[in-house]
Order: sequence, then structure tokens, then C-alpha cells
Amino acid sequence: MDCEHIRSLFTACQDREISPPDLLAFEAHLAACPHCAREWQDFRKTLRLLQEMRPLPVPSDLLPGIHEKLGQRRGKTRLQELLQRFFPPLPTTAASLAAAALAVMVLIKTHDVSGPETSVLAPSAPIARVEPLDAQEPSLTMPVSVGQPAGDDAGFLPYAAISRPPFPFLLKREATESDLLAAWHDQVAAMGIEGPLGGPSSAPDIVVKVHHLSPEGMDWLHRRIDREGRWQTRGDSRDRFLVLVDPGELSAFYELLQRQHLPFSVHSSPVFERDARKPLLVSVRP
Amino acid sequence: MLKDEAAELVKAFRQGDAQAFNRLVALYQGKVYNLAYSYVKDQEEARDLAQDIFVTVYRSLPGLKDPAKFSSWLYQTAINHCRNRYRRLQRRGFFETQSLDDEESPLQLASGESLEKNIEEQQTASILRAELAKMPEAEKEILILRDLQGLSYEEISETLQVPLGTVKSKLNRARLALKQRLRHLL
Repeated sequence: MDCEHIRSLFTACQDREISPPDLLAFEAHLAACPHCAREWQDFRKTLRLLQEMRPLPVPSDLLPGIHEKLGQRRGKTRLQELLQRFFPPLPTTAASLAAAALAVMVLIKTHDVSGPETSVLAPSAPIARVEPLDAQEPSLTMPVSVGQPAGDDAGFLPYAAISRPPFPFLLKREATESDLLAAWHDQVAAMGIEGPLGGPSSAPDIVVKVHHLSPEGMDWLHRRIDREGRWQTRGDSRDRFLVLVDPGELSAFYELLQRQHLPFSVHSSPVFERDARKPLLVSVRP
Repeated sequence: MLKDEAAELVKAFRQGDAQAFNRLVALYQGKVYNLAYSYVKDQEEARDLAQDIFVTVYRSLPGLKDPAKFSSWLYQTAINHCRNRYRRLQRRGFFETQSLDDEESPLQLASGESLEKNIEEQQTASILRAELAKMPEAEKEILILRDLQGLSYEEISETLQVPLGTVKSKLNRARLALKQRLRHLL
């Protein structure tokens, strides 16, 4: 064993996770190498200092403060006040639709590394339909429309818009990123679009657009998600922030938006080398 | 065991026992408050942060699938809160105005201990916390979870959602890095 390998065993040795043969070799090396022996002593002293640090006493008003905050957040007046302040009123039709059901459109952008937009069908406007949340789970073999990014989406790759399905499907707790991907691949395959759409390099991250939201509303939503504490947030731009969401929690994230009665649409964009354990990078934009 | 007791309290809470939540807080408040403090290094902020963590726990507890996983779930929630608060405070320049002098709590003198020993311990703790604070987030977190909070490798793996082998190798690197930073103290 060389010195570097010995140092890689410090934690295993300290925490008694080392195998007997490794322990013998470890001890033999330390006996013959004063430098490593000194390092090992310093290592142990460092941990002793760290582990002997006394925990700070808990403030006596911690629990009463929790109840106070819970009481505040149970009251709806403040929430209603904030909603009124930050979210411009929706047009009557849209508002009633939002109240009855959330208008959700999932736009899934395809990733084509062989060249931009070569396999895209004729541009068409994305289709959005209102689906009652308690609707029967839609079939995942329904038609898909493909459109050319425009306006805010101009910087993105071409997308396939799944016209009907996603919200009830994604709202299910067990729906994961791989469910989303499977649905996406099925739809795209059914359309005969060519290109490297499958495989690990084409997994999407998600862009959630929250409609009718002012910059102040974005700030508010950012803080709200931050305060929820369930996911990490990144970035503090007024027109965009990021949330790291575990794939299995995607539906919970949508639920949060739904609770605030925020109409939103969901897009996906390509990301590379997605690992199933890594969180989704959800970009929230107005 | 703490975990078993927590699981029972989670079940009781779900069955409508309002006091069960208070007992959960009592079980974990020390760990959560100290975890919060190790990020924000300010008692007021740590208290506020710990309260926010428990508010989230209260509201999200009905969604916890397995009560036996409460501890890991709580730590995940707490870590997310801590990271977000830390970044927010950092953006506001909060840490630039902090001094070492106001980091530690007033002297907590246990009976039979000398004042000198206590002061020395607190100075060491201040230096340790300051050095921890300067470490990269991933190294700092794994040290906090293992060596300050006393979590097992498995609990850290669940909390940080990284494989067990990664926990072990990262922990070793983090401990070596801290040793290097504390060389002048050793």
C-alpha cells in the first residue's frame, strides 16, 4: 500500500469499516511510515475536535414560534391579499376555466444533435385543451402535434406538443420522469419523426411557464417554493428561476402551482447524461 | 430507539393526535436547530430557519409514505431549507457582516468546569465553525451530517441521495480537507 492509498482508508479505519486484511496492512504501513503516522494522528485529532463540539441549546421559544407560524399560514386573508397583489386578474373566461380545470399543455421539445429542425413537420400552433382534473386517465397513444418554436420559445429546439394528456397522468404520485419519457417516446415514434430521440442523451428537463404572472409574482412564487423547503432553488432572476425536483416529486411540484390557482404549461428541454437519481432541473418562467 | 419513537409519533399524528407533532419537535429540535445554525451561524436566523423547517414538516407529513423513513425525510427537508436560506443570505451579503465574536452562544458553563477550559473550547468551536463555513458545500454538508449530527452512512446516503460508496469516499475527502484547514490548531 502506498501513502495515498493509506490516506484513503483513514475514514474506514476511524469508523471501523475497514476489512481485517486492510487493517493489518494499514497498521504495518503506519509503523513503517512516520509521515502517514503523523497524518493519521492529526486526522483523529481533527475528528475529535469536531465531534466534541457541544450542541447549542435550543431557544425556548422555538416551539411556540412554530405554532405561531402555522397559525399565520392557516389564515387565508394574507394569502388572498398576496394573490390579489401579485397576480393580475384573469379574464373572466380564463378564470372560470382555471377554476373548473387547469389548462395544461405539455410541450416536449425534441433533441436532434444531427442538425437543427431537419425532421420537423409543418409548423402548427400548439394545442391546449382544458382537461378536468378528475378526468379518466387519457390514452397515451393520442395524436401529437409538432410545432416550430416561436415567440418566447424561439431559442428552443423544435417541439412535439402532446395535445391532451399530461396533467392527470403526471399528477399521479407514481408518475416519474421515465413515465414522461416513455409517453414522449411513444408519441414521437408514432409520428415517425427521425432522429436520436431515444437513449439517455435525450431526456428532458422541464420548463414550467406560469401564465399571467408579473415579475413581482415571480418573486413571490420563488419565495413560496423556497419556503416550502421541499426542493432547492437556484438563481434569482426576475424572469426565471430553477428548482431541483426529484423526478418522483414532479407531480407534487405541479400540485403546489395548482393550489395557488396558477395556470401553467410545461415544456421539456434536452439534458445530457441524466441519472435516474438526479433531480430534474425545473426552470420556472412567467 | 429514536427512529422507532418518531415512526410511532408520525402514525399518531396522522391519526389526529395533535400532541404527537409537539413530541416530534421535542425529539428533533436540537438536531434541526444545530443543523440550521451550522449553515447560518446566527442564532436568530437559525431559530427562524428551524421553525420554517418544522412548519414544512407539519404541512408535508401527511404525504410521507413510510413513517419509518421520517428521520431521513426530515433531514432532506431540513437540508433543502438550509441550502436555500444560506444562498439567500449569501446573496444579501449577510455573512460578510458577521464576526467571529457573535457566532457562539453565551457561555454555557457546566458544573465543575473551569471558565478557562470553557472559553478555550468555545474558541476552538468558533474556529472550527468558521473553517467549516469556508468549505465547499458538498464537503461541509457531509461533515455536518456525519460528525456533528451523528448520522449513519446509510442515513446520509438517503438524505443526500447519493450511493453509499460515494458517501464514504466523499466523507474521507472532506475530513482530510478539514484536517488540512485546521493544521495550525493541531
